[in-house]
Amino acid sequence: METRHSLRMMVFASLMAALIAVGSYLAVPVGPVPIVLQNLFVLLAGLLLGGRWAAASVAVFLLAGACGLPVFANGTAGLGRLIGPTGGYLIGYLAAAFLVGIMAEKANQRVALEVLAMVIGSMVVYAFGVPWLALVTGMPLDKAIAVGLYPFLIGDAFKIAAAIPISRAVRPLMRTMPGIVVAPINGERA
Amino acid sequence: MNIIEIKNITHRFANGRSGLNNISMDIARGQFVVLAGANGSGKTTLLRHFNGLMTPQQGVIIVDGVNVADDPVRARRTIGMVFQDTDTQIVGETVYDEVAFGPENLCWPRSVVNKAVQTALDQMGLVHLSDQSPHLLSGGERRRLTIAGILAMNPSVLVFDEPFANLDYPGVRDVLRRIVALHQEGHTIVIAAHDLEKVIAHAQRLIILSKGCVAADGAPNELLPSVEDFDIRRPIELSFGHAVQSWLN
Amino acid sequence: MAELSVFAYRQGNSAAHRLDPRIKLISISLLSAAILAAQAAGLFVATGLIIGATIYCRVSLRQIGHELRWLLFMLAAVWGIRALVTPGETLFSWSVFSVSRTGVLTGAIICWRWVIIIFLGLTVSVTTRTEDIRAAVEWFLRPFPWLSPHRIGTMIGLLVRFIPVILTHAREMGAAQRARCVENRKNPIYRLRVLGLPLLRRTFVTADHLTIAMEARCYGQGRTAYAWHFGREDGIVLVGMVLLSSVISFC
Repeated sequence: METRHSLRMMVFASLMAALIAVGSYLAVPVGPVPIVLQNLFVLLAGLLLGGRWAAASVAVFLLAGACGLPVFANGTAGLGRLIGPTGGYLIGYLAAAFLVGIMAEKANQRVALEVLAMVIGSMVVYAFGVPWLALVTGMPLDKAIAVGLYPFLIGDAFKIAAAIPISRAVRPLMRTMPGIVVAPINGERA
Repeated sequence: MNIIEIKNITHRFANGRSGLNNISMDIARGQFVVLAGANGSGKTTLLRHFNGLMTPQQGVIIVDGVNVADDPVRARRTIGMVFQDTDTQIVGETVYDEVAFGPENLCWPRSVVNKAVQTALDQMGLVHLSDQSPHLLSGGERRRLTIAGILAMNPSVLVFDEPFANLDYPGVRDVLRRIVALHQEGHTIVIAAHDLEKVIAHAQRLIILSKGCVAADGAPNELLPSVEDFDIRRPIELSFGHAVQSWLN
Repeated sequence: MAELSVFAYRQGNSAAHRLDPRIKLISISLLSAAILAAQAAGLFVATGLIIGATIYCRVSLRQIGHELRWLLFMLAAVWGIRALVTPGETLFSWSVFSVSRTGVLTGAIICWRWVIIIFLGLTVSVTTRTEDIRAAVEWFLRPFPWLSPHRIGTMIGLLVRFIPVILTHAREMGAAQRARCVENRKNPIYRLRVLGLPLLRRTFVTADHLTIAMEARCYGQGRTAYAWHFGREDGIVLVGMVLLSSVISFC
């Protein structure tokens, strides 16, 4: 039987996946490149849910999209999006969420380590995204880096800076269910 | 015969705040009960003990003759619970799937599930919307959908937590009419509310909670004159010497 | 009310709606693979098929064009870049830029393939209920019990259910913040925090309520099995798709 804890983590991960999907529509218009919130939510999934559940969250998002449910940007779906020019970034989210998650579990809320985890996580996204972009467009790698990496670095720095206070504020909510003492339910009773 | 028996339950929250303080009550089969109290008086906490979503530190709850702690799944089938916020309890992506969620969890055969869903949708007047996304329904329709979702599991008790929250006047009347009809079909009804005027004309019993204790319990007519002592607004008709009016008239 | 796009499921009772969802997923996977391998002739066949399917699904082309404008823009950019960076016989040149013949051709083929594959995904999105796709995914994952297909299915369902809820909430929140002149705050970290935090907090509270509501309705490991309806038509479509895919990939 499902225990209340695992059911709750599953619901958290599902809603985090929905937030990642919605994140491609939410942007803060600062400077020439609007800062899109999607990868902020990927980083936060790692910080808040831990490696396994963060990876599950992104994996469910990608799987739903690959199977034709309209969850990707502009409501598109299907394999077309994953093999398109920006598909590498989407796959990179999966690795990033997992890595940030396991590093955050070890970091034990030390800010420097969490920032490091998110920096590595963001780089992992580009490690998947940029070579794929180069491959698909036929651009040489240095040009691909110029269009697929540099314009987003400042935005990423802002997102990492914002993720720390956000995760600090949300963590207490996760520890206990409001007004509920976690009680043994269903088959969990000894 | 009593369908719910509550014996001396006490619930204290993890932060030390007292939730429920030595509460006892019996609810008879087929009764229409209104549970009133100001916000924070313990209404929702008490309701969640009915079907084992919360467990008391002391005391027992017996539903239909069986201790809830021994078989919470049975209690959840006997007691259908409609929560306050419709958005955070609808699970399905379409109206049909939402109503089928409970029966499917009970592993009923597909044909039985289909029949239960059709009956529940019909009772709540939602058949024409069965392929619609719940997000596109009106407030009243969404409230009816949450009721259909528990009716499909064929419970004998229906528990509503603030069923009229965020509804417009036609929405309130529509939902109230259907709740009264369900009572006439023989369901036991328990409604938690902080505001009595919409529903009290149909109640057979009024229980007032205050600071986690039962402050008063009896026939609505006897208790209504003094409800303001417990931070509950007295229906306006009483001030003019009239009896309370049903919102359905 | 928020719907992500025109690509959401539409009610209907066409043959495409009735087709077994497993067959639909197999078909688009096969066709996508075939299209990735196809050359111009195969792509013509596939384009004909897609145009037929789009008309059949009654999605207006104007709406699709509007929804996909960024994607089409991106594809045009990819084509342009391909044309410029691929070496080969020069078609025409201007100052330092030179457009090669092979670049134009390979770029066109690549972009053409994407457009077709995206339209393929669209035909499935428009004609298949989430519940059906979810059941098909669970079915395909059955050989891998350690992935717990049942749980993945539930997660996909919740994901799709909560996208419009969160989007509506985000828009309301954005409007409320603009009403109080949030645009005057230039600090991007502040802006990200005030947009992200309430969304996340609300999402987690929603998740808690949802957990309780699911428990109250006896959510557990076991559920009623999905009613599959694999008929003769489904078999015919499957065979047809296999043949069609091989034709497309070898042309």
